[in-house]
Amino acid sequence: MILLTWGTVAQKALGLYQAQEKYFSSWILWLWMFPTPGGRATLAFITLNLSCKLIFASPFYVKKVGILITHLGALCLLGGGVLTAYFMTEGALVVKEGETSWFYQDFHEYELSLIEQKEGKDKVLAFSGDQLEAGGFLSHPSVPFKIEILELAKNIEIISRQTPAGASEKGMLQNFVFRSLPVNPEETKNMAGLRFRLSGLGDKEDGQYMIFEFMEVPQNVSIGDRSLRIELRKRIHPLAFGIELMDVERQLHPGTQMPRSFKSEVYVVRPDGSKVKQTISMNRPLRTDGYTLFQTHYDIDEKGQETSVLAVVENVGRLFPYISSIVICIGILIHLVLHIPTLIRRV
Amino acid sequence: MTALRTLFLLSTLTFLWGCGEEAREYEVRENTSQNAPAKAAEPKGHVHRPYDFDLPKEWKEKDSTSGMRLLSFSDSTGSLDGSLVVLGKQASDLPSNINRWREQIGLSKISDEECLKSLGEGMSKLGNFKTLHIKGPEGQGILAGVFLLGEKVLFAKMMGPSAQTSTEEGRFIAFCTSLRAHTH
Repeated sequence: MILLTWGTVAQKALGLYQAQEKYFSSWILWLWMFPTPGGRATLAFITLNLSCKLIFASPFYVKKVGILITHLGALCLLGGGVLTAYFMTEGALVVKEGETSWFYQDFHEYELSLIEQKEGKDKVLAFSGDQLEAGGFLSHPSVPFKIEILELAKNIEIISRQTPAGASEKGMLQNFVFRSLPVNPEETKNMAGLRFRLSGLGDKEDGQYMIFEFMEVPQNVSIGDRSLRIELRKRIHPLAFGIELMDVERQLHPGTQMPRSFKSEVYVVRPDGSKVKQTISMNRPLRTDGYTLFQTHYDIDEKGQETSVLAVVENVGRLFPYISSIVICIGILIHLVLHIPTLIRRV
Repeated sequence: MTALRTLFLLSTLTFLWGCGEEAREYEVRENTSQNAPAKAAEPKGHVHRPYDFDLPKEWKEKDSTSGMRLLSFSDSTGSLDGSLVVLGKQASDLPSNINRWREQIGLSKISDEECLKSLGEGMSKLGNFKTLHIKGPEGQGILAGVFLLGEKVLFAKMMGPSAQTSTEEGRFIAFCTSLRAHTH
């Protein structure tokens, strides 16, 4: 309860996502220099405690079967929480009218991507944000070089160099450096930056590089006749289907420019070319292939090209709260039914 | 029975502990348009540039378009290194850029006001642009054109012997003036 209260109050200063990460998604919560259990550690302890009670200390009698089922229901709820915490993904699918999008981009998580373009597809080797800790080394059998992470900052500003670049500083680092800024509570206002060192490519390409989110011209490196683009970006989640936007509509409140609702007419496109027409509006998400697609935003550029933004959620633990609630109800009901004769005798 | 229960609990914990992530490989299609030709149809080695330009016939385009460069080129003698680079608006501070270029050719920094006074003006289909020609004490010179394009900033730059930058100044201004948005 203390953790819940702190985390909720902290949302005002830190922002929703940062507070959630610090208080509820952490194993250790540092209060000044003192380590205290974070949300995950607390829930893990409750789960372990409940599991031990169920496995080692529960009496397996017919009369106690209701209690056992109720315990299982509670464990099921916590298990759903584990699945949601580790496997849920959510992000934005941005698609222009007349175009088809085959992926969505995570709202929060970063990835360092090595991208090779082949036949209209991006072949990507991605290292997750958790692997980008300063001092760490990244390598993979498919690329003949090593990446040493020198610095990752979640919010930066780009500034011109005040000192001449060394021979080992390549790409953008020849003219610019970045400076870390405090993380903005409004996550969309942050721009992450990464400094890293490449080795194993020869004198021409080996050296320090700097990349950041939303870079206009990505950093490329050559490996023989291959060219790899290196990007720091929000994590990409490929979809097994495409969303083709036929039309997007925005309705305004009468006499104002305030949007009342957005609606997207889309085709769900399969790799074999087959299509199914669907409508996604603000209160009518599209559910397909384990994903839920919500209408969230609309945009129109200066050329009149309309764009629809859909929030995509994939959550394998989505049904667990419903299932566990039913199991808990059944458990309590059985317990009550089994104890009716005892109650009657007492009366 | 207790040993069996303990084994069950430990194996579950071990499984959960092992749920980590390594590098992942995936393929993703680029956003495809029914109206635009597929990028795959573009010839090998083609670099998509958001800008068109008329490169003076005396100049040579170089292959090196990797890294931050949209275009690399040189003058007829090959002594000047030219580049066309687009960056985000974070890089648009003119005095910082001018002082950085000054340092590259051995000149000292000057005040922001002096920096802005040293700039010339030009006009292209991308809008007004700033021009600069500086010469250093060691015989090096820089020609620069800076286009402030809202969210982006486009830099055209030539660097090399100052005698040669003086010779190429007219062509450089003509090149900057020819820059325009790419059309299919």
